[in-house]
Amino acid sequence: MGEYFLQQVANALSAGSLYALMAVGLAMIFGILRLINFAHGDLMMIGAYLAAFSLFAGLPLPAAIVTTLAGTIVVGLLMERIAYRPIRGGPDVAMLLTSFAVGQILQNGTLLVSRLGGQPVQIAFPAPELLNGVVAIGTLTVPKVNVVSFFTGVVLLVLLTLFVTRTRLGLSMHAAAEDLPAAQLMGIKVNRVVATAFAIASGLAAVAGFLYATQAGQINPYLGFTPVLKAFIAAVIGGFGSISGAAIGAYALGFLEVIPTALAGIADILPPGSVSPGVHDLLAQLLPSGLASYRDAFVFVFLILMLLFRPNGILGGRAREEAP
Amino acid sequence: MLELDDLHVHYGNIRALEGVSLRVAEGELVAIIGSNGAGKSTTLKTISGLLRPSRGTIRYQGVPIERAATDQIVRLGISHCPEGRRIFGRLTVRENLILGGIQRSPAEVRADLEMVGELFPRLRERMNQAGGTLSGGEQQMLAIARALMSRPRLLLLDEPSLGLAPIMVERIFAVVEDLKRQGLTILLVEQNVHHALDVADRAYVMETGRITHEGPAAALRHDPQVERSYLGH
Repeated sequence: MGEYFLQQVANALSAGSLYALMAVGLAMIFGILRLINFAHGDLMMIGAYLAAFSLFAGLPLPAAIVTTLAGTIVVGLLMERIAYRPIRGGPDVAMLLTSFAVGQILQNGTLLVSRLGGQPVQIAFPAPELLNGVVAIGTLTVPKVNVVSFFTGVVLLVLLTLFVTRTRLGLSMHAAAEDLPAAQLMGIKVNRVVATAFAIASGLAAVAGFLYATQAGQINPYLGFTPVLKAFIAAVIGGFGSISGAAIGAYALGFLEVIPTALAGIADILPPGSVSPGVHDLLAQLLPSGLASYRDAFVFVFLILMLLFRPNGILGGRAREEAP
Repeated sequence: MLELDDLHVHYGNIRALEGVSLRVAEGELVAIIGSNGAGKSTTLKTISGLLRPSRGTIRYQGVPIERAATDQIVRLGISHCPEGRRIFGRLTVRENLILGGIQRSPAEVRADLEMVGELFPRLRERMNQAGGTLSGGEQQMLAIARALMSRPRLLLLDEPSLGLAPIMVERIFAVVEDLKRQGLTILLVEQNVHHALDVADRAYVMETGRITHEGPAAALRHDPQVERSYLGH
């Protein structure tokens, strides 16, 4: 038994890491600005394109990674400076709508640039040699990129946690997220704190974009849409606005998503003889095709139940107290 | 030290301040009294740069600051302890205090944490406790201590006695008098007019965005109109 399940666990951990890289960025920006930045997925897409073009240009992997990170961070900072700063403090819905507009601009801008460069809409991602192939763990074979995704996610989350809890800038960020005007009265430079949050979120999105593109094998200007939705769901499950909540929600989402697929293997782990061979065969035949395609529906049902019974998320506890 | 001249502030179409002028001299404790919505807190928020005046000037030690950002104003030596305390409830007492001194070096902040511990022994016992778990009076102590961490020369103190039990109100005002004795200049906004006029040197009375009375606190205490409106005699 078990191999099929372990495979699903490996998938869940790898997907969870990617969701986490996106979700913590989303949560960090929401925490400070009360902005759900739906253009965050497009930052990930920008990261994927920058990685693709760097690798096409023949840059060695470290240089490609640096270019991807730096380029995406610059785009993220420009986004904050040009689109969000002027309407900061405005109605939440204005910021939300602006984020959709920013997303459209980034998608169509990327499309324009890649068409001008003679590229098709869908580009095969030149995955670096290093990330190709599989890793054998016992009887299990996992694509190398999934293993790298998992560990990269964990390492970056640990570094982020250290930054947020151990540095003055991290403390300022926490204060700004809890009460922005009060943080201003401390003498905290809010612009700097917001820019730092955008820079970190963009960097994490760039890493996610690189890994996602390597896993998917191809990229297009719209690839950020599903990941940002997933990251949003992860952040809601975890308790919106909290970094640790978003990370926990992301891994929870990773596991939720494999449950329908994993159930297909349930016939294999039932103790032998506990069901008649006929039922066993029936389960084995019905469940895979029957459930795996309901993956997203399953996740959304869970999300709805979550919002009904625990609207503040896993870490949210009771309704958060509002400043008077 | 601080001069407000013909200050006008709007919230959208609502006029919050209509030509407020006031002065605070070095070492003075000046109170602004008046009912809810008179514009007292708005005045303090405008001084600390959270709000922008549509007209008028604010000078601090001769320098105009009405267009300066809040972090610059803090650097100049003005600290604003806001209404409702606004402590960071999920951060510890120590972290709240560190944030108060965020513009100063870690070594200076460490030294000042000691000083705060001596001034407020209650806080020293609770350094590692989340701010939100403190009692109302302790939170007010923390809010004042946090405002002092930037080593201000002018403290803007907004409604420090709001919602506190009488015994805590006494304690808070004892702290305020202490700070005054140490030479800190204080601009105090307070609905507790009795107490405010007891500790203040001078006071301004505000009504619907304007200053209607001003003078030495002792004189205002015996002003028939102030007595009738605010002291309930």
